Amino acid sequence: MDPTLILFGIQAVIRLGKIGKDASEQYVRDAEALFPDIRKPEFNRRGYVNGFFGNANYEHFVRGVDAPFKEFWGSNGVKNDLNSIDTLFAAAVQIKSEEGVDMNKWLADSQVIAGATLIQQWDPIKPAPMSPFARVVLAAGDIALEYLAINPGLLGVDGNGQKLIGAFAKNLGDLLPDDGNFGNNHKFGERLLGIFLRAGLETINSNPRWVVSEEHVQKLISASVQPIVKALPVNITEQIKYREVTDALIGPAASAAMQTLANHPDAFFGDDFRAETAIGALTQALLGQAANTGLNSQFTKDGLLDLYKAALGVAAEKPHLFLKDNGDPQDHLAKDLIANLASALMQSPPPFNGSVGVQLAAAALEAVSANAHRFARRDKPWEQTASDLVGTVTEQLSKAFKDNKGIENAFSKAHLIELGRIMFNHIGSTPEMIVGPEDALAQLVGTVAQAMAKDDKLLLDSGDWLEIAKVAAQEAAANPARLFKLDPNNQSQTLAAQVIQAILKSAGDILSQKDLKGKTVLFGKTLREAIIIVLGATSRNPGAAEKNLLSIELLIAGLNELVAKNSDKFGDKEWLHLFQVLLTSVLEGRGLDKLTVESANKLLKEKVI
Amino acid sequence: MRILKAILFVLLGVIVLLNGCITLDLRQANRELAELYRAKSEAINSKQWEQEVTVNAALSALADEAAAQGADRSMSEVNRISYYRIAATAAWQAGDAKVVAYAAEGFSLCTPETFSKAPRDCGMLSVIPDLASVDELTKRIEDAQRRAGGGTTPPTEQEVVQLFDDIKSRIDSLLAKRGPIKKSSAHPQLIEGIDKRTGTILCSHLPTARGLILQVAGGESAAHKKAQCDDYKLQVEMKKSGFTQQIAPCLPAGDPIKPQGCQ
Repeated sequence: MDPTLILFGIQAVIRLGKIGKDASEQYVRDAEALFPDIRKPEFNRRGYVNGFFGNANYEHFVRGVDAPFKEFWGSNGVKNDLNSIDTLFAAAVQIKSEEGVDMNKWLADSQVIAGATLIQQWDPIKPAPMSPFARVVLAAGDIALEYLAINPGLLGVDGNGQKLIGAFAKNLGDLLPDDGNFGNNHKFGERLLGIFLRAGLETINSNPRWVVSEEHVQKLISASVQPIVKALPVNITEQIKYREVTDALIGPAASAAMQTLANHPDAFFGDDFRAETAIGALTQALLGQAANTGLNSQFTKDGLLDLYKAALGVAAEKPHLFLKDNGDPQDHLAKDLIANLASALMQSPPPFNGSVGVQLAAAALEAVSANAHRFARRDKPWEQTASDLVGTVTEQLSKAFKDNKGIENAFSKAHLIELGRIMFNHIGSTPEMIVGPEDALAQLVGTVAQAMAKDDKLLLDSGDWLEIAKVAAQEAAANPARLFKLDPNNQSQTLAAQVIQAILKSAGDILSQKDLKGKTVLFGKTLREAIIIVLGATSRNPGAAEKNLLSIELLIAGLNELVAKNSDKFGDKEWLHLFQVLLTSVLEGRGLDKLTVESANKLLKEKVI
Repeated sequence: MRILKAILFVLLGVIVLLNGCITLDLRQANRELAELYRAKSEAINSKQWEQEVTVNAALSALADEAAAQGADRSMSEVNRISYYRIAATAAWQAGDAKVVAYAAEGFSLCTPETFSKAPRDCGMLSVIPDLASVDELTKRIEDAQRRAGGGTTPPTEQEVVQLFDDIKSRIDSLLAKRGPIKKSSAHPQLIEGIDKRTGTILCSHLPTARGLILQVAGGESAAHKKAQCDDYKLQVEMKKSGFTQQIAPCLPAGDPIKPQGCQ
């Protein structure tokens, strides 16, 4: 169908709308109308049997000499005993079944709570006052009129609204057949285009500075709508499901896509249309995934939409990640991306199966896409890497929360997401950690998570753990094979985990000594710094740390006791300085003398000099 | 959760009431009707009766506001008909007796000319009072059934006969309105919907009421014999009109059997 004609029609409707709204009123008047069902009486078996056999058509089964069921029938209908009622009910069902009527099904259906039918105004095969062409043009005109009321300048010559309608008309022209015989697919597509037009007008309203590029909007709409129309299943049941998810998701998805267009002007400029293609593939992937999982699962509509929005940014900024060399979408990539992330999150326990999980996924996508060049030509596709990252982080943190409820409560949602972001950003820059032979990411996250699980006295808060995670991630990225390698003697733990746990244990032990409990400095910021010092030192010399683990534990215990017993002389700064100095000695294999006030003062004085 | 839902429904009602202060446009009215109907269905399905009451109040407010628009003579008659269609549907779903008045006011605007311009809306306006009446009769059936099952106040013969006659009148009325709707340009979904509902009344409501006559007055009573005869006549008429067992499964496969003494 000629797009110029459509555009002309829409403009005519808008002009007409300024004078009078007759045509658009008819369009509104002819919209589907709700026709509710009637209420059915509660089913009563005795009442049903009396109604059935009291009918002249079936009375001969219960009345008369030869009536086969006469013994169950009395002067006032069925005898009032369960046996008679049940027997005659079964007989009634049997009789109707022989007539080809499934009475059981009808009765069951009739007990379903009333539904409603949506009814169109006009019989499609009788002459109606509005042609299909007029209807599609009015549909667009009606949407535009709605926005014109809010923003009268919307449709000025070469204005943003005008360009948007031009893009809409071109898509409609491509979609509709010239003969005016619109099938189901055309109507479905027409409706989707209307939704995109509405989303576009909304975006213009909320982003007045957006300079609309008609060509890019046109491409975005066609890349999004055409695959959805093509994917409309033939099977009725599947089609109903697909339409349901489309109805639920396409509005917000179209808004998000248009918003992305407005927010990334550089990505949608000139002759490069790759971003539109990538977004189209993502939109189709979103609907496909929703049709597969349905919208009633724990991971509902909002979760999928948030994932979609997170992926839109990547599509706008790095569309090549989604495309083949010839510019076509990579087979299954967008679908796999959404499906894998959704699957990872759906399998995660709370709180990772909701908004926290989605934001972690967004952080993972950001990190992987920002470092996509590092993952190039690896065996594992980048979209799989992103979902694996999410799966690993949520799995390890869930384990820690299971073992230590207190630490879960200590973490706000924002801190949880920040924790994930720290891990992803450092790991993203070191792909060996993820795609290498050992799962270094699991070991890193596992290390921090296991340590968190051991902090049952809550000596550190979530802010402290974030700092520790940063250092751990930096060390891991710098030297993945050292600190975060599984201990051959203890396959469930890394060396770093053992070291951190040793510190936590020593820090916790002093709390059981009544007289020193109130005087210890090894908690909060001091403890955090102590762990960071150990991580740095151990990373530089992992062999020594492994060999002297017990000595490190004893050093901390000794320092704790000294500082607590002499709290008037030593505080947190002294503790940390002594620890740094003495840790070096321990790792160098030098024996430690007994710590006294004098020896400590001597070491502190050396610092001053 | 229940409290939260109740608050939401109250807010919904308030929104509808507040909207009443400004002009309700047709698109908005249609949308609100659909939303409130969905809220009512959810309340019924989850057996949240207090929410149903709140939604009913909102539906009633919507009905009044749409009817006020329908009464605006400055508007075109076809638009007024659409407003009355919304008013009548909302009043029906609210269980509000004003459904009859709103449907009548709307249908009075359905001249041959306007009927041809809004065939679905006129068709709906003609049948809505009957369907709303059936909903009310359903409550009476359920009440009579409960009392017939035991208790101190069993239904009287006069009461159940009246119930049967009222239900039959609704079927007669729906069948009479069927012809003009079928001939109009209204979408066939409308006549299918009306037939489906008529079939349900014939096969669910009417036999239940006839069964109650049998139970209360006895198989040999004049009341029961008259009900059998009336039922037979209805079945013959419906078969002639093209009703099948698919729409009305209680119809016999062949010709209905005429009861003895039925003229």
